[in-house]
Amino acid sequence: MLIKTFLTPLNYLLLIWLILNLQWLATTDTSHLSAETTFVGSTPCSKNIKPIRSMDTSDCEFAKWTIVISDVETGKGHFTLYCVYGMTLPGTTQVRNGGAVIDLKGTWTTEKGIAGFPNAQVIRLDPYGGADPIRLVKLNERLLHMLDEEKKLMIGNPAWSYTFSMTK
Amino acid sequence: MLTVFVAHAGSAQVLAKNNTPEKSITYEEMPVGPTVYGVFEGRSPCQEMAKQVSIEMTPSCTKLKWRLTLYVDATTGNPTTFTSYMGLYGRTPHKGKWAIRKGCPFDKNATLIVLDADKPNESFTLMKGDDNVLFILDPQNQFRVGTMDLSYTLNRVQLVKGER
Repeated sequence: MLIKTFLTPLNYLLLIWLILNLQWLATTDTSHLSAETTFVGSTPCSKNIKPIRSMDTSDCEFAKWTIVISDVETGKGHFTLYCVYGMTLPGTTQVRNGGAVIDLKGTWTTEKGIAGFPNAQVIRLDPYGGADPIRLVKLNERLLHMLDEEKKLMIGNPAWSYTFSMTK
Repeated sequence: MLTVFVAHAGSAQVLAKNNTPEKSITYEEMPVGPTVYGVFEGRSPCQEMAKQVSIEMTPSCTKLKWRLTLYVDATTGNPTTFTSYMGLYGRTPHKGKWAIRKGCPFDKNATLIVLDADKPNESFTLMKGDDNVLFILDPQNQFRVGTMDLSYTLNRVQLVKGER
C-alpha cells in the first residue's frame, strides 16, 4: 500500500527498469575486459643512452618508467608508456624540476629468443606513429628487462638498472 | 618547468655500441690483473637482503649500495674469492669464496654465482643474465621483484681511480 501511494505509473516503470539493469550488471560477463599489468623502474640515461630516440637526454642522469601492458597472458595487446627523465634532485628519488616526459601508446606482441637464450620470451612494444619498437625480455611474470638493438641485456650503472618490476 | 614530448616518430632501442659498462669511481685500491673476473654494482632494497642473512638493520636503511668484485684463478679461470661492499657488514668489505652452480627452479640451464657457498647462512645467489648483468635471487633461487627506484640487478662497471 505504501509503494502504491508513492509510485506514479512513470516512477513504477523507472523502478522496474532500474531493477532489471541491476540484475543485468550482476550477471554480465566481464572476462573480456583486458587485464592490465604495470611495470615500473628507474634506468640510467645520457646523451648516448636514449631508449627512445626522440628523448632529449643532453642533460639527463636517470629516467623513471611506468609501462602498462594489457592482456599480458594472451601474447598481444595494447600498452602505454610514461617516462619522466632528467637530473636527480639530491636527497630524493625525484627528477629535478619535474623533468621531461615521454608519453607513448601502441600495440605489443611477443617474439622469441635473445642473445644466448633462444627460448626467451620478448615483449615487443610498437608505438603508434611508426616509431621503432622497444624490446623487453620477460624474466618472469613480474620482471622485464630492456634490450639493446642486438637483443642483449641493457647494462645499467652503479645507481640504476634496466629491470622493470611489476607493481600492484 | 615540466616539458612534455609526445613521441610519434623516431627510432628506439639503444645501439649496441653504446650498451657498454659504465665507469665507476673508486678511492680504494684498484683490483687489476687476470685474476679479476669483474666488478659489479647496483642498488637494491635493504631490509629484504638483511633479513636473508639475519642481520638487523635500522629502518632508515632503505637501500644497499653493492660493489661486488669476483676473482678467478688466473690459470684455470675457476672461481676463487670475492669482495663485496654492500653495507650489511659495516664499512669493512666482506670477503669469501664463490662458486658456480647450474640450474634453478625456472631455468635448468641458468648459471648461478653463489657467494659464501661454504656458509649457507650467509650465502647470496645471483643468476648470470650475461657477462655484464647479474640478478640477485631469493633463498629459493627465484627472481626478486624490485620497486620504481631500486632493483635486484647488478651491472658490470669499469672502475676508475678517483682523486680525493
